[in-house]
Amino acid sequence: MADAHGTTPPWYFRIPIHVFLITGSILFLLPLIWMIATSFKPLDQTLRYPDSVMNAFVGQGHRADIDGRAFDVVLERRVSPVHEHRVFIVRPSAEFAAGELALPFGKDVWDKYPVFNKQELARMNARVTPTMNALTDDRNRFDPETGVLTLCSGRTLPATLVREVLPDPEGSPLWLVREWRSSDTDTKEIGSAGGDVTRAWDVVPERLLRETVRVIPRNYPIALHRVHFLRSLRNTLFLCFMTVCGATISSLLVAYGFALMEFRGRDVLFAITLATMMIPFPVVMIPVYLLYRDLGWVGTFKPLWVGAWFGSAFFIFLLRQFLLGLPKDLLDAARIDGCSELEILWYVVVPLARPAIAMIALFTFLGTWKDFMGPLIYLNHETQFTLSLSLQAFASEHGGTPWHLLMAASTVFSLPLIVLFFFAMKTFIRGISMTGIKG
Amino acid sequence: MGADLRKSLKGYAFILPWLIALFVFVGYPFFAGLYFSFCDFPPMKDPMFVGLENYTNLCTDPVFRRSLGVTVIYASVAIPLGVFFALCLALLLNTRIRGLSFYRVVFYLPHLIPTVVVALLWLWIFNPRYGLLNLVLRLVTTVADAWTNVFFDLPAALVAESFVRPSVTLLLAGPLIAFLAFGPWLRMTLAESPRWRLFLRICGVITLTLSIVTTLYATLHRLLPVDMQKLHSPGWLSDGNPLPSCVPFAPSWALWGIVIMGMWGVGQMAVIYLAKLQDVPTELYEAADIDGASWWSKTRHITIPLISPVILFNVVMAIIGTFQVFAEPYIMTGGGPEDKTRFVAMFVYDQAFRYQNVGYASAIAWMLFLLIVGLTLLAFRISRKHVYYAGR
Amino acid sequence: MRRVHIGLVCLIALVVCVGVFERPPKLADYDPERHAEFADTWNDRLHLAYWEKWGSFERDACQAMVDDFNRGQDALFVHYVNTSQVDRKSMLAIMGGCPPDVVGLWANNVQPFASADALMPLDELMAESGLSPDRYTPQYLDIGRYNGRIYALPTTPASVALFYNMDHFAAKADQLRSAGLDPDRPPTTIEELDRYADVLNEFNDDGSAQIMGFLPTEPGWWNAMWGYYFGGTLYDEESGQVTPDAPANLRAVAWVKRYAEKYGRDKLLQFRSGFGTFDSPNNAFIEGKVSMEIQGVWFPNFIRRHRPHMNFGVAPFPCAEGVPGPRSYLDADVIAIPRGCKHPKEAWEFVLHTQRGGLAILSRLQGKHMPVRQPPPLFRQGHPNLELDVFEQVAASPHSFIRPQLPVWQEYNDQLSRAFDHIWNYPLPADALAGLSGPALDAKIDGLCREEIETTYADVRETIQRKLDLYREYTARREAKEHHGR
Repeated sequence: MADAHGTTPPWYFRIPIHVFLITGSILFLLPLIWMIATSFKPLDQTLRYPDSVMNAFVGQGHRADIDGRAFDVVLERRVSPVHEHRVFIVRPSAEFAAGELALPFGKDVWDKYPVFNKQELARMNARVTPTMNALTDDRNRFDPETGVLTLCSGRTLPATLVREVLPDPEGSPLWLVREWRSSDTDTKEIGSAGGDVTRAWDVVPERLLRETVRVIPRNYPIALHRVHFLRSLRNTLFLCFMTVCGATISSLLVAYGFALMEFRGRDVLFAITLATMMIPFPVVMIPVYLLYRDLGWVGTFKPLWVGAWFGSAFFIFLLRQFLLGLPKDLLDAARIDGCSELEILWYVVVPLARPAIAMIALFTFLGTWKDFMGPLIYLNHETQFTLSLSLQAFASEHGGTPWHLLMAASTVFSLPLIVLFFFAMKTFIRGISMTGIKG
Repeated sequence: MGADLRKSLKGYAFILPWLIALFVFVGYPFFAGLYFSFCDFPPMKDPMFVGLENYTNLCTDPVFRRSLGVTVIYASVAIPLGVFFALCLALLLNTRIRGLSFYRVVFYLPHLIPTVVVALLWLWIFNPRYGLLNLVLRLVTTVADAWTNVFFDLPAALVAESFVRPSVTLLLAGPLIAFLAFGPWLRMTLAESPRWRLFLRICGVITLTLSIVTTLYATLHRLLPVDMQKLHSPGWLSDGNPLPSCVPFAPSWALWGIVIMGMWGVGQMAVIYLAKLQDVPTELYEAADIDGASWWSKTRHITIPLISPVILFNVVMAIIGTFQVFAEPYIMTGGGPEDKTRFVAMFVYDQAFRYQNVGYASAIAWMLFLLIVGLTLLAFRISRKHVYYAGR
Repeated sequence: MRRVHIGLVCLIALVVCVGVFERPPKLADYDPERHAEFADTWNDRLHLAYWEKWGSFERDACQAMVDDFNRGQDALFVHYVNTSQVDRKSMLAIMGGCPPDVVGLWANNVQPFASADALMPLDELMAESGLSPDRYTPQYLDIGRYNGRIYALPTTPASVALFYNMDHFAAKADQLRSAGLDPDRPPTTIEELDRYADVLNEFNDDGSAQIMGFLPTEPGWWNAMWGYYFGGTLYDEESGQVTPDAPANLRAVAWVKRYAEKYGRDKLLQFRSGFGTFDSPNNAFIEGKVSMEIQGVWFPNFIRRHRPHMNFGVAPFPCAEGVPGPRSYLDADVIAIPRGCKHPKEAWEFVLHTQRGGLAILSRLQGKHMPVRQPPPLFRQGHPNLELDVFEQVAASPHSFIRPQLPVWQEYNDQLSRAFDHIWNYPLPADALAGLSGPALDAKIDGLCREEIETTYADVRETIQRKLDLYREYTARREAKEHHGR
């Protein structure tokens, strides 16, 4: 009963302890909660600073109450009919490209070059047909007397007036709002609902708008797809498996040697082992790379797991302390029975050392799962990338990092570890407990 | 002799993997690093021997001195705080209260999240205007200010007034005399009931704590006016001013930010303490119970000495770790306001990969190594008097 | 042999098998999802690796360019590999002898890579293919030059200009006119900029800033370069000395310090802490918190993304009085062929393609201008960046500057940033500025800070000059050794 140890404090200490632990837990959990909360937000909410604590954790959106019905909308921009010209909603009599409404050049020049931004091209090419309305503000003009609509591109065509956009009688500012759909999560669609001209839109006064909560679980499938989740997971699991096996087996062998066998120079070598824990990583990084380069292993998985098969100072140290605490007579009895050292190790020591071995396995798994430097340096091909490396795929230099997708991927990345540790915590502590760290 | 030799060979066979690692993965790079530290080695050319020039240049390099200063200041603050908090946490988690397994995982959580995400999270938390930390601080300082006003300034003003005006003296003296006169009688009457005694004890403890905290806050407020005002909304990672400003070599606000972030990671050390705490034999506790020891004295006289080896272990691990702090500050501040968070490990990385000076970087890394070894040996020496090894 | 021993041996054999029989993916591995349209010529093509740093939408732009090349011919196929920290990875790869065929680097990688002989010089290849160096804006080509030879060619150029909020100008038209300034045009000298900023500032009741006319630390990426706008340089070619403390540079620092002191450092810290990055609706300029700002050629993209109908203007950033202009800080990302590349001729074909047509695609899709003097005729038509002409104008100006091509540039830049921060945070005595305003205030601030500025930058000069001299000495020693050895 590992957690039956310890003292039971009197009740007047227990309450403050609970309070302290609960506050502490909340503080420790808070960043994690924030990460999960951000992963459910729409992109535009992740780019702006939250102006309230509520905003920090839950994505906001708007609903418009129009004619007694509520619509999920996105605020596109303010419409102020107090400029030099009046603003109208008109219905054109002929078709034209949506791109001609908002930009001072026509769609035909876009065709000369391959356009990667399919949304933009779609927006340029989308047609405003006589069944749809168009808003004339900014650079477009409509003359109600003659009924002529002049587009930014210079083209003129007749149009019928649907209604004039007048200032709100109650003085509320006017907003152009567009229909919002839950599929609007991509990086390139910020704020406006994809710019798709066929979506419903209207000009509504601010007083008819309400704030709502937006939660987008669709971020997860998108993020996982971008990260090539299954492939990266497979690579990561392979590496974790190889390193865990390697670390446990080699650490066990070496610690057994240091603890329970006698040979010349044993203590000196062990002291050197301890000293190696103090070597800072930058000292060895480049020579190790050169070594692997000479072996021709750069570009393969080998540099990432072969090292684990040779033991690690920290685990050897812990295991050795643990093994020192085992009853000597058991081993002597086994030796008298004629067992070889390896057999003693396998049949006698391992069952006793299960917690410690489990601890080594856990730590190694954690380390390999999170390792980013190693795969970055040694892996060259995309199909080899591990999960932690794939998270980098979201980072963009010149803007456009999809935070919501990054958080979603990070949550998926961290979740297995959290679950694993939850179940393994007890074993973990029991494992270190008997190592009797005596220094 | 033959049996001895065979025994030795068998031993060596077992540690063979580690021996190979020692020579190939540790030894060769280690001594190669040493050789590089005596060379000028731009990454894509061959190393050229220059003798001790790297080391002499190090001594005159102001950037190195600054980064060493930052690292040492950070270590001297973060190590004691970290070890202490981890110990407190472990002691708390070692009590038999409900929900223990949940708490254990929660406090270990920070190590399970990728570094990039951690850095981003803390960047948000430290944001002066919208960040979580300043939100909490604003709340706390407003409450603390109000509290100090009522419970410190007001009585202090009253006392000051009482020296001037006799009417106020009488006003204050009345209750005081009453308390002194009737106090012992009150105590005697209430002494029979243990519940009242408990109640009075609790009241006493609470009042004492609150008055100490209030006085402390008020005094600090007077002594360090500028800094305390800053506490209402500090600049954290953009602020390079020292806190507290009257103490020489005090860490800057940015460095305190990194320290706080480090505190978030005490779970690792706490777990190791927890494990060792399991080892403390329950018989000792039972014996102490029979002797009528309180919870606090049990902790002081039994628990802490018995886990002192682990405290040493954690201190050594903390020394090694603090001198290699690199990833999060690099992403968050990139060296910080005015180099105030440029740690030595960052400096090594910069020299090797951004300034293309692997030889110089190796020299710094080697000095770092020697420093770590020196501090560890110091820790071991100091610990000899204080650490209690059971059964060795 | 006991069972345990056999077990151990089997285990080791298994592990060795796993290691030996690993088949690392080859570049030429066919992926039906992405390479379907090239299926028939797949095996006949020579496969090249192109390591680049882009992610997200820039990656798509680059991929479009690569696809264009792959579709246009049958003999080669270029694989675009997105790598973070591409300079570090390619440095290790070149050291290790297994470099990619084409690599995209940053401007400050050219010097160290070229001096270490890690890149192939491209002069002869350019001459053979008829790619004349004259077609480029000279500064962009200089970025890729080392010791007179060209090692890298520019791909995505950057230049900066003054962005100003026309709505703010219109709102304060009367105040501007009464101050003798014209609200219909942006400032043309730095002194004028200060006066515009003074009028455009708006403060809250508690003294904190509501709107700042101009803030030299927004966005804060080019803090080291302010001296150039005052006519100074950071490096003197003739004497071979670094000059961070040239009088013009110090004047620039004093100018920046005035902003810190006039409006209160702590208040500005709070003001600035609410700003987002350039790709955020909380960006200082996009939000309307700062009226004038220095920003780059990519910025109109992001303004349009977050505030599509914002009324802003772009003009060349003003220089101090008497300093010839217009001038702008120019930078570029480059493309190069590593030494040790197995197919240099083919790699050059791809690089040539990027420089001829590919650049046009890349620049259009990223909303930037091209690093050449005369872009192809259709480049400007329908370009998404409506303010392109201003950026092209400053890029073409002979006064525009690039960072000094020094081997110690990174360290120099870091130290300059530190010195800049130090001066910005340098505390002045509390009541020294009470009651002053206008030129008297400026003079007082200058007087109080002059010495500190001089010493700080003199320190920078000493430190960096020492490193530079050391570098030169080691290089000379190296060459002497080689010469001796030969």
